[in-house]
Amino acid sequence: MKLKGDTRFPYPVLASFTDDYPAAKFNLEVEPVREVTETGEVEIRGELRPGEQFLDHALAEGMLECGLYITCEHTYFSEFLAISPGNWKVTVAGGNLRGVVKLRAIIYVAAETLSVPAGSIHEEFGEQDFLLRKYSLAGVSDEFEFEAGLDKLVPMESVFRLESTSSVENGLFRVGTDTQAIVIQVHPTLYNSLNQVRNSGHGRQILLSSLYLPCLIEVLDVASRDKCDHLRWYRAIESRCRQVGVELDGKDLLRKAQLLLDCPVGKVHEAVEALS
Amino acid sequence: MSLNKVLYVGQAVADQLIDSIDENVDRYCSEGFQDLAEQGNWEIATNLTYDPGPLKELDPARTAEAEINNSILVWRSLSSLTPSLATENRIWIRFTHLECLGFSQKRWLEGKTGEALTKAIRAHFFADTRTRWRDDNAVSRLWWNYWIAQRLMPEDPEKALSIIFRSTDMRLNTVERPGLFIRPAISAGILRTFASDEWVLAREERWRKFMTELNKAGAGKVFEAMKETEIDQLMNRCLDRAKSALAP
Repeated sequence: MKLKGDTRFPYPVLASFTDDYPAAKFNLEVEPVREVTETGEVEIRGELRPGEQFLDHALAEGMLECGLYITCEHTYFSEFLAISPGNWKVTVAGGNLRGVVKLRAIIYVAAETLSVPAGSIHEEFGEQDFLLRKYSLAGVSDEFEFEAGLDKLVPMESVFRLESTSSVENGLFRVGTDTQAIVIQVHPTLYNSLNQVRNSGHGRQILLSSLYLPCLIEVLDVASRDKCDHLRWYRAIESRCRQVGVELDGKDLLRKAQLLLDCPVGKVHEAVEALS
Repeated sequence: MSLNKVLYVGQAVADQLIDSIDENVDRYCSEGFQDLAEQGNWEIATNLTYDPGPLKELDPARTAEAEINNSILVWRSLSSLTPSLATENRIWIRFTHLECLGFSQKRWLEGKTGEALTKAIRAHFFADTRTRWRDDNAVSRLWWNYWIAQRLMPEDPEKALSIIFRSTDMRLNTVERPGLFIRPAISAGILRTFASDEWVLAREERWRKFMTELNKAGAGKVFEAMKETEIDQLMNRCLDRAKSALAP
């Protein structure tokens, strides 16, 4: 009863992971999800096209219907909403979603029975038309994911904590990843000057490039070797990686760190211009 | 009934508490956190209110009955929370470390020492992962118990709680395995069947057989499109098959 990317059925199901309808591809397109900050309401729009002549006809006749599963394991949210083939829109009330939300569209048989012509489906189903019963799954889309809630808006540098310690030589810095926040240890003298930079108008941009970027490269290396999801910084970086679309695989760290910090070197000139 | 604002601790406080469990063991076991709370950043207000009264009645007994009653009490107190806020570690840290400290200590820490004690503190006083807020945190698990029960049996959440807490195995196979149980059309149907015929609840073997039959009969079915009566008929057929298979 679980719908997964590798589920197989003893009858024809239109999906990217089956070849049951050789001439068709079930496309679920989802537009960028809109979240209303004040209320938390989430509006999801998209387009659904089975792209198969018989299925299109059966949908138009009401013998098949479409629905969308919206699942958020963090908040135990699971809804199945009827959607129309073509363009659709659904709304989830505020307060229901946080973290990863998964969408999957399906087509199911709404008539008592539906006879699928042998010519539409793979020859392995035989030369006769194939009879599907009411409530049988007839098509399933690939899964689409997005991140709900305000957590993704929290600046990346909020997972770092600057700490003053005499055990680090002045001018150097050291990174610790065993605590909930990533600790950047610096000599007290450097600590004071970094705080001054941080509190100046455009200092943040300078620190993102000069301090947080090299630290994040080190942190991405640690995170790729050890899945430490009991630590807040790890969960935050994992979430940000999902949002930006990068893997925590220990490869191409320099590029990924720049993407996670929203390309900070490209903004240094703004800070320098403001200071001069 | 006087209502209080739902408060939460600052992120730095939450980080510091998780990182300093060993240093704070005496506070967890006896002294409490009032002194730290007075230093600030423990009282960030949400725009929600709650009733502190029911939280004072929480029973630390380690019984299913206490778990059910406590879930009802926490819901009465904190029904204003939304599911997304009920995943917020910093809200539950505030409750377990201050308002519900006595209950949390007695329920989860009594009789524990050394590593077992620090592990229990980490598990039951914080809610920073999905399993922690749903299954472990002393107060949030009670909120989630009721919320899930209400979702599955809106007309009688207390009945749903009594089924879920019939055995540890039952909670494990329902609430803690959301893969299948997260689909309310299926899980609500299962609970309705159990509520009407408790044969299946008497032994784990029966529950497992019923689920095997349901997996067979339900494969490829879109339960969400079915009427409640149709789901109940399908569930009853599975129940009959389980009974036949296990008949002496």
